[in-house]
Amino acid sequence: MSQYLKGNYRLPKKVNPGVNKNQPTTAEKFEQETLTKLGGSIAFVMKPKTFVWDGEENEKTV
Amino acid sequence: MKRLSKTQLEIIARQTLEKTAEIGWENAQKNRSYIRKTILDLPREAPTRDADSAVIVSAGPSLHRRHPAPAIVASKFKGPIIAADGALGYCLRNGLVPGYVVTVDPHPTRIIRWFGDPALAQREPDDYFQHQDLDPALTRQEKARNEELLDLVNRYGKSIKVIISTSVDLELTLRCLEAGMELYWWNPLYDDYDSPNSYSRRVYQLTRVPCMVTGGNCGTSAWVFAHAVLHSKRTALLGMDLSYHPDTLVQNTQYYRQLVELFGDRADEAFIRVYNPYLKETWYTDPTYYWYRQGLLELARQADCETYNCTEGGIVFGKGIKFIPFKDFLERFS
Repeated sequence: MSQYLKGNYRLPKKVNPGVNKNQPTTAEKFEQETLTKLGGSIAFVMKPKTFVWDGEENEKTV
Repeated sequence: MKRLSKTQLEIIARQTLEKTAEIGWENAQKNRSYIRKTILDLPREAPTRDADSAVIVSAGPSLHRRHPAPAIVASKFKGPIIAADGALGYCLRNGLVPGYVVTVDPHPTRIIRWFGDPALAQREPDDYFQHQDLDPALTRQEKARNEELLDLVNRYGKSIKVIISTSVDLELTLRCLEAGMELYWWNPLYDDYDSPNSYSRRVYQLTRVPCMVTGGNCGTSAWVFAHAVLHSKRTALLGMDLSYHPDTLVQNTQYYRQLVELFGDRADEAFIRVYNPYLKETWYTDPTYYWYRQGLLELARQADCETYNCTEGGIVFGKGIKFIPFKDFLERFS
């Protein structure tokens, strides 16, 4: 097709018709929105090798 | 949906903190005057152990499909049986009195149902238990089943130690005390205790009760308790699917209604399919349960104990987890 359709003038600025890679796709938006509406039973954070923290006074972790 | 990235898992973690920390903090203030013992009193009270192995009974769909209670009752297994609150009814109805039951979720009306709710008749209608594949016994004859559970918990409560989080609703605390259960308190490790305005540090300073890692849910909290407090060298998981059976209708999953509200007829796309090579089956899960799964796998990798997933269903497999039939576990470690 490109052998028949050719521009007959030059654009002053080069236009990139590709998708902006920084913008999330519809699927990614869907996923992000899903995640922000759901939540577990209780908060959860990990500290390396810490399962129980018994306060600073004792400086004790199990 | 594809498997979740680290960033996406962090979104769920933040969302859960927002949803549960403030209510957990408020509940801790109400529960404070009932605190007598903590989980760290347990090793002091019973310094010697009968066994190095423990069994966690969680409330996933495989619990009812595989029905492991008779095998435990018939076995010579001597280790502690630790039930997640949602599995307590299953255990008691099947002649299995767990040594411990773990509870953590701060929900004001639903969690007490696992212990028998004395005020069920006065509650606002809630079909949470009826439209899911949680405990099939609760999906019909709701009031009769509640009465049965009230009786069972009242009858066996004195033999069961409750590993109770300060985050639970005060009515649940009172229900456990009414049933004669002994309470051993803990705080959820909500966040990094070194961070400014940490909920973990605040709730610790309020209660002087140790903080325990949760994994985001009751079943994983039970696993952490077995490992870090009871010092179990090997722990079997039952009913720990963290997913839905391939035959389960998406309408019967925990977050389906929220997903439909958000996405209408695209709700199905929010589920994640996971092929289990041990079962040669593809189970499906939602983002929150996938977060639980990844958390448990990470914890199991860090722990210096052996974890045997004897669920015979679900998606909890990977490094640090031995996926074996429950009868093999009982034969080896009873």
